[in-house]
Amino acid sequence: MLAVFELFLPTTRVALLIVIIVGLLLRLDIKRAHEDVLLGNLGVSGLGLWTMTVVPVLLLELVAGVAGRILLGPGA
Amino acid sequence: MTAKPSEFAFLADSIGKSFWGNPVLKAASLWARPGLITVLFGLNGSGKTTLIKAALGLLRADRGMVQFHGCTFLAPRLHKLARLGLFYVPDRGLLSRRMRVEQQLELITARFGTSRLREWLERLDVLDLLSRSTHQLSGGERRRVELAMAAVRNPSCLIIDEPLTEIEPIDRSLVGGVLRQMAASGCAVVVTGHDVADLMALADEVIWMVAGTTHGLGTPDEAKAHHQFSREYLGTRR
Repeated sequence: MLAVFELFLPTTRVALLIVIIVGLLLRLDIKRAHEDVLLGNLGVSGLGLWTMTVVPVLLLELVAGVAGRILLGPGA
Repeated sequence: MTAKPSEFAFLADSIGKSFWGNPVLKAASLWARPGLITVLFGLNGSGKTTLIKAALGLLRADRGMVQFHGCTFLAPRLHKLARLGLFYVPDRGLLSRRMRVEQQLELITARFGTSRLREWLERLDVLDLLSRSTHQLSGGERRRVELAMAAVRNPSCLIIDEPLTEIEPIDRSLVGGVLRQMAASGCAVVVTGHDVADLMALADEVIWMVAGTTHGLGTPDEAKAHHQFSREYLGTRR
């Protein structure tokens, strides 16, 4: 996990941490909404929302970090 | 239970649930039959809502299984059951606080469609409430909106927890009439509550929850003739 984290640029690492924190807060919010039962009655799972919203952002961050590493070099 | 499993639209069988080692449900069952209204009675704290939530996957059951529309679920989830035609109205918390009534109804119609939206809204006297937020509704108005959402969904199985709570006496027959109309169209309805007179008049079948398990008592007349139910729940025999 830490090795993967090392792939990111320092600024991206900070951004990633922010994204993770926001993601966790969003996850909590989705969980609350899911417990409201309304989403469940609509056939939508809380996990599905998590997957649709937070995971793509994390993947985007990873791709950006790796691309930055390649373009700017390991010391960037 | 006296019916074959195939006669049930919904069956939660032998559900067990403990909280911190204390068993609330030992082997409780809940069922619904197409076209009939099943009433689940039980004292406060007997585990009626826990049984419903465990049967719908809102709580993780320790054991038991659920059958719905020919599918067997060892770990049921509400969203999966909802996709197959189930609708659940909890005693509170169905409506989002962040949206107006009409927006929440639009979620239902956009997802499932309906050709009888206006009819249900008029029947439940909800048309004047469409522009309001959830927190602007009284308890009775909220229950009528929730029932309207259920009716608009046109589910094959409706599980509704305490539909008569906070309902004005004048609206009780309205709510009962809507539930009866939904059952007449083939919906399997499960209702809980403590309003014995109203719910007995509404019921086709009675289930009694006591000591962590459930007993199918048959028709309301058969339930009233059940000695233990009469003595321990209705309080009509000593």
